[in-house]
Amino acid sequence: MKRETVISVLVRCLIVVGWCAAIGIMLYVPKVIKHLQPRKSINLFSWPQLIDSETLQGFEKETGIKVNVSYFEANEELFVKLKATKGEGYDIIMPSDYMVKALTKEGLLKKIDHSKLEFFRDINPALRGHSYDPNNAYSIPFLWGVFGLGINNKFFKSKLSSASWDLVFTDKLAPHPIGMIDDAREALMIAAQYLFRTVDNLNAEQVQQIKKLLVEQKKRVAMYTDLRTDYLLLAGKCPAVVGLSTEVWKAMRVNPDIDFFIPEEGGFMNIDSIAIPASSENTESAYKLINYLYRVDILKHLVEKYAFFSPLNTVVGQVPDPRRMPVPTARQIKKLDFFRTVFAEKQLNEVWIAVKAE
Amino acid sequence: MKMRIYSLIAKEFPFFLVMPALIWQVLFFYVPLLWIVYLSITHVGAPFFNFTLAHYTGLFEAAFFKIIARSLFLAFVNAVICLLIAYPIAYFAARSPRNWRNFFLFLLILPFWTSFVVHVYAWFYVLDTNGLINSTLLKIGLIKEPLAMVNTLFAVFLVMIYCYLPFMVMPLYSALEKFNWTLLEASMDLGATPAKTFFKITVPMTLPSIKTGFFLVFVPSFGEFVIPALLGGSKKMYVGSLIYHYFLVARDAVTGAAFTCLSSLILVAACLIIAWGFRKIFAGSGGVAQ
Amino acid sequence: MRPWYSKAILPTFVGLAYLFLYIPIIVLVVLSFNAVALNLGWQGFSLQWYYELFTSAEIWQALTNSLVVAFCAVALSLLMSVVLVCYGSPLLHSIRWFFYGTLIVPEVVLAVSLLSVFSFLSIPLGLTTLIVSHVLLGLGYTVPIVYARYISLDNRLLEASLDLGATPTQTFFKITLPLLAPALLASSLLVFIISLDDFILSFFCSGATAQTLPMFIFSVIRSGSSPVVNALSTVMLMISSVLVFIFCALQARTRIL
Repeated sequence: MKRETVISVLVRCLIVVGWCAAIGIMLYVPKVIKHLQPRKSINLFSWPQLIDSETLQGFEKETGIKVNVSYFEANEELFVKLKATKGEGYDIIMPSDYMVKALTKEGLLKKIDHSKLEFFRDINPALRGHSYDPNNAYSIPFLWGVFGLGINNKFFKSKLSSASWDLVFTDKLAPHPIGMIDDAREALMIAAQYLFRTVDNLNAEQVQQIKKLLVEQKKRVAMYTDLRTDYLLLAGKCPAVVGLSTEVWKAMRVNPDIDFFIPEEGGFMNIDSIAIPASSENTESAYKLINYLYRVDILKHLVEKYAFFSPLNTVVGQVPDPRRMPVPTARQIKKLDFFRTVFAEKQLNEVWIAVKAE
Repeated sequence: MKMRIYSLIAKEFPFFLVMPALIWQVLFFYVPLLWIVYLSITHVGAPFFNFTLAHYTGLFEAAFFKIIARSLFLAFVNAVICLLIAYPIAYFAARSPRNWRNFFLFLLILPFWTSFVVHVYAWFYVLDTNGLINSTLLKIGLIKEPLAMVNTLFAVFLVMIYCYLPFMVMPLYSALEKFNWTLLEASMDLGATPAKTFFKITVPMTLPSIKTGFFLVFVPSFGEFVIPALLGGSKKMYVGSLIYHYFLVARDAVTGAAFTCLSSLILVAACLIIAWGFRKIFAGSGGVAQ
Repeated sequence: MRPWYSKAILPTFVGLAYLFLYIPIIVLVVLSFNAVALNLGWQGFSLQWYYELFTSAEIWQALTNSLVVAFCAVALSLLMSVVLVCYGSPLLHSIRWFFYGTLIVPEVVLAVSLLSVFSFLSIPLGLTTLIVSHVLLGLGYTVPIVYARYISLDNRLLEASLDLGATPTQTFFKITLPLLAPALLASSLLVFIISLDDFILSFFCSGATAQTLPMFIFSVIRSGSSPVVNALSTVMLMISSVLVFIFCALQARTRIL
């Protein structure tokens, strides 16, 4: 009797182990398949409203390589998903400037071979060699824009000729609401630039002042958003919105009352680059896609459709009113800062949670 | 020997079949939850079993409890309003004549089975400044300026009620459909008013389904973050938004784990309190619960 | 006698409630034929969004992913719960509580715990992890439904079949399964829809190659809507209607709920 129970228990353990192994194998299968199969597809992780499916289908028709695209709406999301999968599964990603630095520090990016890029010499020199990636070894600028103020002139007695961050931080526009950026790092740096004209070497007391300012600002905010500033302006809800020039330009194109200003305090530049994760094995196809995206006709189409500033000197989109396009002058570019990593994660979290918890 | 192996296989065959479901549940439900609890009580980057409560003590600040309280409030009010709206609907559908009943049920379930993200999206079109409500009211002349409905707490509540109503209606409907309506006649014959009948007979007899529906709405609403983000202008953080923030924005899985455990404990406590509340309210009105 | 209007209160209330349920859906359907992109009011009839919908490779890919995950989730969870219920007799009464946990925990908590475990074990995120998490959800629904139906079955039918000489396997396939059929069908419809519409779990646990329909819609909403989503929602509504119709017909005939 006893021996039979022992055998029974052993068999049961075996069954359990067997099923666990089966499930485990099922979970790791994609990893194996990836190595065995030569893939005729690449995975693109991009911002939404940047590359349309027309372009990707054109690429597939030309080269036979299928592009699987998925979207992220915030750099941190990109970072977390990349880290969770150790960079596997993605072949081309589009981090912003500070994210490139963070990713290189983690060793998650692959060096880019400039000789494979046909267009490299044509890249606007103002976009190259910035502190986040001195030799553009890991990233190629794809789109750039400026963070500033989108203004709806209907709310003002006379057309504005310049603007300052105080439009969104003081009660100048009351009772009308404003739109604010929904990103902890960006919001804090804008507040810092407004209060102290600098974002470096801020002590704890200054961070508390920033917190107070942002909490106080909240009652004026209609909506915290990164990508829907054009909607806020066009719907006539807000006289001033903190946003990226790309979004505001989209609204400017259809409504003559809307204007974009780089605030007097300086403003921030944003460069979204193309990068290749270190664990990607599809580099050949990736370079093909990169070269395709920077082709004059393709880039022109994307720039015209999605209203960002072109990275290449040779490509300028056809715009109905080029004088209105909010491209910054060389002098303004000098004054622009980047959203760098100046705050500790803990500080960022503490301030942002305090702002949103109210 | 062969006979013994065959008989062994035959004996253990049911066990073999039953195991996958159990293993699946353990591996993908219980283990991850235990992992989250484990993450929340260990030092970051330290070797295994190096326990600490530091992550929890860091959470004992006003901001976090404000967020949890706000989510509890949202979930509770949502559940109560859903109950108040769902009961008449379920009652009406269950009492309608046979041939109509399926039609009402169909109309009821259909919104439930449309994607929840689509619902949220659709309400934008209705509540917006240029949306349905504002344009109609402006045209009729009831208002001079468009009402600001999107990006407000009102919009969040409205859409939450909309999305969770079916969860409340379904259990109520299935209980009311099996209800013995002759009991109502008997009660009225004995002299009770319709209102008294309702509160003393109908409600207590459907109490289990009321409780089911209530918790089916209360628990998921507590963790909701999509609706406040899309329709509340992302202005206020709820438990779900903060968890999302910790795991997908701040890359701080450990504090996120601690916060998740803390809010789950508070959720369980809240559920126990509500269950106790149900017992108290309906203590006197009959032990006829199923 | 009760006054005439008290009889009208309930139907009016219910009528308003139904209207409340359907306003956004009607608006969505109507606007999917709108000729202009932004939410600036009706500007004329147009089928352009449907055209864009049917030629968008991205949406087809998301749809394919969603359907594959949904079918696998249904198949696996149904299979596992049927064998669990039919063959797990001695422990079943207590074991089934094991599976109710999925419905008690908020989905966000489930999603982050799965994500943590997956990333700790370096499991590649993608269709497999999606299917795994949806099957987990599915088990929480199929086990109670199939169990409820199984309990209500007349045991004597099974005993009679065994007495008449059928093997347990034959009894299972020829008697038990057909008797369980309505519950199987109902729970598979339920799990199918839940998997198709699931957003939170998919958002956290998906990788590069597996974008599902709700994720696509969400990212479009977050970044400024395109009316293609209206057309997409209308189409999804049509599909849901058919499925709900089947479910209701089933319910009418066999009283599963």
